[in-house]
Amino acid sequence: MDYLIKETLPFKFCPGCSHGIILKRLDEALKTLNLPPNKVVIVSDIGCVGLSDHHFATNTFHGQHGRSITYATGIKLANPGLAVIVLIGDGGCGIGGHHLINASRRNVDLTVLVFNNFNFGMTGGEHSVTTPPDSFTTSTPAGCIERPMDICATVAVNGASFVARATAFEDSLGGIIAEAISCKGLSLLDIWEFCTAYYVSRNPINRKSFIVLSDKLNMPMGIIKKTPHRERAVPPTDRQSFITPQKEAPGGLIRKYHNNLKEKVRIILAGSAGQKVRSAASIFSRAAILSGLYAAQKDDYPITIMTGYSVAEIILHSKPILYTGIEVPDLVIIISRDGLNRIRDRLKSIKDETMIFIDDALRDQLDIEFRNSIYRIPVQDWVEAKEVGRKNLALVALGYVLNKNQLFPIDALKDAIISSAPTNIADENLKALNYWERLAIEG
Amino acid sequence: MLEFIDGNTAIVRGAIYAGCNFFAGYPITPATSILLEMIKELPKLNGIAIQVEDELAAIGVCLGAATTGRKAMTATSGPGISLYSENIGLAIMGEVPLVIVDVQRMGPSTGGATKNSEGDIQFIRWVTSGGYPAIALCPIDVETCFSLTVKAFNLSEEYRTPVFILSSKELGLTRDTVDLSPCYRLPVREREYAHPDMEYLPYKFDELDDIPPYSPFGGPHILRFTTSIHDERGILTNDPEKIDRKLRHLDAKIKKAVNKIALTHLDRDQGADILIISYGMTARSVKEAVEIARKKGKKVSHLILYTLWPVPERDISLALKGIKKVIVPELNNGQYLHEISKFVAQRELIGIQRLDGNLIPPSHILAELH
Repeated sequence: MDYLIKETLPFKFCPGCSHGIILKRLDEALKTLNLPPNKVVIVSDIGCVGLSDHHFATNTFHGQHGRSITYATGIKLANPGLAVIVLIGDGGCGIGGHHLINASRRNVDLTVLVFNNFNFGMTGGEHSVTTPPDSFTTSTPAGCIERPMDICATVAVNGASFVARATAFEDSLGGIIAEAISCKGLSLLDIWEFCTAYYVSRNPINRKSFIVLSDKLNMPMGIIKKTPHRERAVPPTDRQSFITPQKEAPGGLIRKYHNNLKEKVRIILAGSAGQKVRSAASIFSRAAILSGLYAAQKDDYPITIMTGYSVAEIILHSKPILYTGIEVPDLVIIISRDGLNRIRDRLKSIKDETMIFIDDALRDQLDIEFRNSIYRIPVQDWVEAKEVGRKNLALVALGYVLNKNQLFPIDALKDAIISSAPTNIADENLKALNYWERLAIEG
Repeated sequence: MLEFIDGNTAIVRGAIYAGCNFFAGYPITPATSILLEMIKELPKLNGIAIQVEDELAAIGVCLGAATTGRKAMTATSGPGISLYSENIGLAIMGEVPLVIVDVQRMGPSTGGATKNSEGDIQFIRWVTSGGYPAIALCPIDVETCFSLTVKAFNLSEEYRTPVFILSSKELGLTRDTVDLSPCYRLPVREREYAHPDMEYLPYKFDELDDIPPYSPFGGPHILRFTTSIHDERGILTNDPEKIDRKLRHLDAKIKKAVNKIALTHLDRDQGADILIISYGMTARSVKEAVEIARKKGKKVSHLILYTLWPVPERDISLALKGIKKVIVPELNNGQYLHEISKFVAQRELIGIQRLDGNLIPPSHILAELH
């Protein structure tokens, strides 16, 4: 069958334009391969090449300039049974160059045909990324001074399976296109041709001078690379058989314990990276939920890890929490200098009733006259205990606070530890908490 | 049964529940956890989740996948939406179902990557050249992050349009206590395909606001898809009548459905002459303020907008009956105040605008009630 729709011919390209020749060779190649038209998608980029669509009896997708490779990738990944062929100009390879590079890295099974006529035809003959040096174009009236991009070398070095260069005038072009389509993985064919409207009218060029140019630019003709290998875009799965997701909420937290909450409690836990502030706050929140409360948590930490402050805000309430901001905390727990420095400004707005728990060693760093209840917590002792260490500081501090205000039972905290962390971490957390609990009972 | 999860997680769960089987994204604070969670979860269902080279590629591959029949989603923040702009135009012109999550952060530009804002409201309406509309939904809590994501997928299928979810750093990354089991009973709309035997025209519509029939690449029909202005065959056209028809259709199909798409909740206080109109995280501050005000004997009504675009005109007009004073609190420079101002006539209109990255506390709202 014909893949070119006879009724749409002859092509309406400029007289002498080679686009029509290449499209006829594509038709030839498709005939050789005999692919069902509804299983072929031709993705055309912007430019004169983008006028190709309606000539073909296959599926067609005409998208934004330079982005053809991205649409083609999506189509092919979503339906690997389709043959996806991208028609793109040298202009599209400029604006979309890095999509070409990444398609090569992923080796997606696409065929990319570059209609390379060394300028932007559709917009009036401006230079492109492949314009040869010293060429005259409408945007390089004094001669192009940029170095042209070697599209083939670029995709070859980044992982493409099949890379070749040809001119539009070779008899074997249809055969090379068929070979490119058949080759699994990213196949690219850089096809040099004439733009008779602009480039050819301003520069001395003919079929022979292509060979000279190829030598001069060290961009050889022929098959440059053919090493079909597997796609590296997504891990292999059976993409065609999507599993229907379950229609049930996964298991959650069921109330088991009692609580003594009178009204909303707003807590700021201020420590350092490496003290598991965030995970401890999370465990604490879960324990509160197990005790019949509602909890909300937000975290504040720098971009870097293992260094600097780590602050968690927790709100506990007997009904769903609406406003999640804390202007005035009810409870402040400070377990490191980094934490103190981070929240120092916020301490200016606390009220007399705010309870403050602070590392013993930092007590004299509170430079404001507080009328508050201030509890000194033996952070250094905990750091030195091997069951606790710096890592479990936040969790033990919360246990300590819980013991003081009896908001909900320590057992809820232990329960939350077991249900929320992988076993080895849960064990470590429990050990730390039990160590402190023993101390608390004894002392 | 209760869970302790954040808004981003709920969006992932909602998307999976709705049948999303293709996700592409690029890391950006505060949306990254959606990308990472999808990469973890979708392969378990034989779905595809991929991190690509930039946002242009993210939305590009999603659009390609959507045209083959996949339910696709992508997620980013303000700077990413800026990069999506051109392709959103393609989605609107090509009438492609796609869900786009914007976990908003402080702008403009890089702004504050870890600072909260809800400043992309007008941007999302006018995000691409031409001015044609899409749909934008705005959750207020973890539960609506799930339910509105499901709704977004359903609306994108029904109207063949991209649908935005406007979340924010606060909503996305604050963990909250929630029972999602009611959400697991929400209806899910599957894509409706053109009958294999029919002669297929991808952009045929009889009435201006009808939705064209759908057929995927690789299906029984040949599909032509183009970002250029086209006729019902999907082929570039120069015919002024066909151009006019297609473009008016893009407006009409959303306009016609405005009442169906409008998701709002009116908490009417009988006899109140003050109305607060809110959306996003601020809606919760208002709920708390309203609770406090009513306990003190103050009458005040509250309209929550879950649909921001198209503007829920009928619901807003109804809520304004009997109202003398309207308050619109926002975490931006008055972007929805701008829309509401078109409805209020002679009523007093007050905006509360917080730009410093913090939430609006109930006390700021209460201050305007006197």
